[in-house]
Amino acid sequence: MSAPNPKMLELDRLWKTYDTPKGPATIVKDFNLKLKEGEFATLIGHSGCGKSTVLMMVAGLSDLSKGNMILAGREASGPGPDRGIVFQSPCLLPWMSAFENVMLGVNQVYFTASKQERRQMAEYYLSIVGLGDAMHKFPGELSQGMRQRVGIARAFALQPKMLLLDEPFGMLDSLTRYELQEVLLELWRRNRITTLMVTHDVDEAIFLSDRVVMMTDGPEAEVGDILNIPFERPRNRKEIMEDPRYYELREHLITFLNDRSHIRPSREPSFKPSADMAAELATHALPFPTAAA
Amino acid sequence: MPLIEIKGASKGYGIKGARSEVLKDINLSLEEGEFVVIVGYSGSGKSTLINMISGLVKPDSGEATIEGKKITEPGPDRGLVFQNYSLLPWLNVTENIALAVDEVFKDWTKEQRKEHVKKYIDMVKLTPAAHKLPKELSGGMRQRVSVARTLAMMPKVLLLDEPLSALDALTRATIQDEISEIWRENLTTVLWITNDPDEALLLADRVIPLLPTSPATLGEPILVDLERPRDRKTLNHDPRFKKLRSELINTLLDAKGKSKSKTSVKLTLPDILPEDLTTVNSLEFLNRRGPKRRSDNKREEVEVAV
Repeated sequence: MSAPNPKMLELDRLWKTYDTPKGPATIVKDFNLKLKEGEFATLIGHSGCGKSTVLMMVAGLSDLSKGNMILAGREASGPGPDRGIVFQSPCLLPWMSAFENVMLGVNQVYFTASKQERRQMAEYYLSIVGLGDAMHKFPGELSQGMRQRVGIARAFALQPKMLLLDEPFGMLDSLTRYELQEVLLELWRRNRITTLMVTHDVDEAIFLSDRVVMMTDGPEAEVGDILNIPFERPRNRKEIMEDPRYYELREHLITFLNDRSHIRPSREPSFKPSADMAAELATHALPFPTAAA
Repeated sequence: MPLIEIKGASKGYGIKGARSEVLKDINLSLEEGEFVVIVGYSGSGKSTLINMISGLVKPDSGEATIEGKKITEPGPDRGLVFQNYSLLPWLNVTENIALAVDEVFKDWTKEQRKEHVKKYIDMVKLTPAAHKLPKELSGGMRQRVSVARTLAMMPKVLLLDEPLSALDALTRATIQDEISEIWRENLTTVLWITNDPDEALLLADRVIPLLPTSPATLGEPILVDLERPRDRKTLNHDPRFKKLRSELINTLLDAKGKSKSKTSVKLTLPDILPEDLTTVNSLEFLNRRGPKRRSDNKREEVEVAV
């Protein structure tokens, strides 16, 4: 394998503007982010701040109003199998079994491979997500958590350049969510696809990602702060929860969401931090996305 | 004597041959005024457990008692709150609550009953919406009506079966605080069922994990000795809360891990790479047979001068 690409994804001054009867409404403004190959990044922010808008722009499902997006050295536009998406609800075709749902994409992108190889591909990923016995069941016969497992297997089986996860565990209860986080990490351990995930669960962000990107409140949302998660991989939930750093990181994220998400770093002149706040910002060395690459 | 007691109860469903045991050897006792939360995975038998106490389900063996008397059918001494509110859609908030009050307190005067209904609507802060129909209320407000209706019957024990699972996180937090408040003022006995470990630790005196073994059993109870009222913001800093939280989550996750039967299967990951579908019509495919392979990337071509 060649050395990892330091700029797998480059988002350069991304804007999203919608026309409304009252004039244009800017949802996302000057959004900058760079991801290294094999990095797991999480976008976190209040609901409605534009997290999913950014993700959908990266997915190619929503046009960029302004700005550039470069994926693996190429300007990307429109959706494609090089970006695998997992939505909040897994969007499976109800008349096809779990296996057939996965094969649908596999047949497309591996059309030069033999039939046996394609079948093995789908079987491999479905077994790893824990559906070895249930892969020929239909979505209607599967629980919500199992359906989401199929969605995750489907995304990984295509070996995309990037994986985009839009609150993939948002609809699940907390215990099932913990299980699926482990499943996701297990797959990701085997194939470190560059991942961008949207979530509003602080614990989930810390457990899964290398970097947590915090977004300011919308409209005109931008990157407010970035937090590096120092835990070693493979990660063990028990060890992480006992690590004192875990609660520091959690605290940092919660403080951002509660107290700082309305502060816009790009408009610093209009915002004068108090002495305490300035000291705090200095200790975190507010990593601007341009400096973080 | 404990208020509610379950002794050696077990329950299974289905006929012989296709029978699945849900609960086994359940022992539980609730003291008067206690707030107990049972946490478990969905589908592990939590509702069956609470229904044994409500009288909607009869245990196959063992028994459930209230104040020493065997529970055989539902009754107004045990108030139930379901996840789906169960309000009558053609009755407004007052009427929905009055329905229960009129049934339970038949010997009261009309005035007394009216006062009583009012008091409980006020307790859940719904006085401004007292004349609205369920469809005009949000999910959180509907669940409040349901809680008020149940409390108005003045049951000996309040049984809540995942009452907040259908609500969004913010409404959930508000109602958690409200119910906790009402409980501290009235000191009813509460048995609350949930799948959220944080919710459990925030509310309970005692948290009992329902372990997803097959059939499910109750685990060791965890005593939550945190002062009330509990503030979720300060709890996050409390080392005792952190310890309890990781203890509870680990118990549940470990039990789940053990309950899985492990079979090893040999799988082959085929060495193929996805094709770039934007260049399907290019000449590249004419010169190549079969798929791109990961091993191709490693192969080096070296020119050697002879």
